[in-house]
Amino acid sequence: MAWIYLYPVRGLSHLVPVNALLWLAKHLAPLYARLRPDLALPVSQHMTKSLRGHDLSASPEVMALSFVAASLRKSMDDLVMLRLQTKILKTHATIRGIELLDGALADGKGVIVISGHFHANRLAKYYLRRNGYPMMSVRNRVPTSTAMGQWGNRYLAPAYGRFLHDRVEDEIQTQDATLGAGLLKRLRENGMISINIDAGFSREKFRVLCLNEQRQFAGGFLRLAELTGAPLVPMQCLGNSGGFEIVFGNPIRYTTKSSPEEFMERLVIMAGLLESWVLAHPAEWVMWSGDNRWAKK
Amino acid sequence: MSTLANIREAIIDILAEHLSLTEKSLERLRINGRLDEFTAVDSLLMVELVLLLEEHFEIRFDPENIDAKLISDLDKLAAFVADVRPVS
Repeated sequence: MAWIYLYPVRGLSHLVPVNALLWLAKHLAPLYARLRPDLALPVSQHMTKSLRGHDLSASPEVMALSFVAASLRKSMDDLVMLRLQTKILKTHATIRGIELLDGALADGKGVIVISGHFHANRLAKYYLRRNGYPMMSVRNRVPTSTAMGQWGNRYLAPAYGRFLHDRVEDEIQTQDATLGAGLLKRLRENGMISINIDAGFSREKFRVLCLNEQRQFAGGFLRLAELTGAPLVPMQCLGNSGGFEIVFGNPIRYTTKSSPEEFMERLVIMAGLLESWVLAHPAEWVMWSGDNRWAKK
Repeated sequence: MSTLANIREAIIDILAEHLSLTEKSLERLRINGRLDEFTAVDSLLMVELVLLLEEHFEIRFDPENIDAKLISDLDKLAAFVADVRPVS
């Protein structure tokens, strides 16, 4: 879907009214999914393997089409995000469990908001930031993709990284020498940090069974929670600018440094959380994409 | 040995005890005072170091003091600790 971020499309997106673009995305996304079986097929194959043995509401083939359509709508939301009016978004937003987040913030230790890579994340954080809940995202500076190829990764990926930077607004990058200080500073200010459980960056990586495969999980977010005592608050974001939902879960508090065995037990709980999110809304998870590094591990 | 030198050495001892640094790394740190050689490899080391210093010296890093440049430089860090720690 990288083509949508290229300058001709980006330029056009500034000229066309936002509502017209969103209307087009809504109505063309299902058609686009049917016209691009090359995108849907690897997703469906990956879903078949990873979701085997679980009760599903639809077949992997149908869910793969929904996934491609949702990807297109997310890309369109990214394009027009800075033009979306908060008062209009408010009519499309549902937030559940905000009192759980408020309760965690009341501890005064800052909060580590944990999510998976879901299509609605950026939109949800954009909306929350404008409603008094700013979160600093921890992000890889240049997102890599095998689908872009060598040329794409050299020229397009950095441009895409800058494009995302403008949308994410409040972020710290994993390559920053100031990462540790930045994270601690934000927590000391009783602020929020947003980390995706299924992100690959961390010095410590562990293999944990999740969605029928041994997958690589980064342990940094868990270590940070143990060191600082900051509660982990699960957040799942679903939908798109036409209607989206942000669901906060019960805070998880780890106030002591764990033994290696306890650490693995805690990581298994985190993997289970991610799995439950994905099983409930398979088409909303970004990581099915065949070009994704995590999907291949 | 001056107070500052004592604090500098105490910080190195804390690193040696808690953060599993090799003797060679510690010797290099004594000479060049560059903590960023370690914190650049593991960002959480910076977090851990701040928390260990707070516990050992009974001090508190306020958000405005949590600065990568300060925490990456052994001499600046020792000076900060000397400045804010309680007078015994």
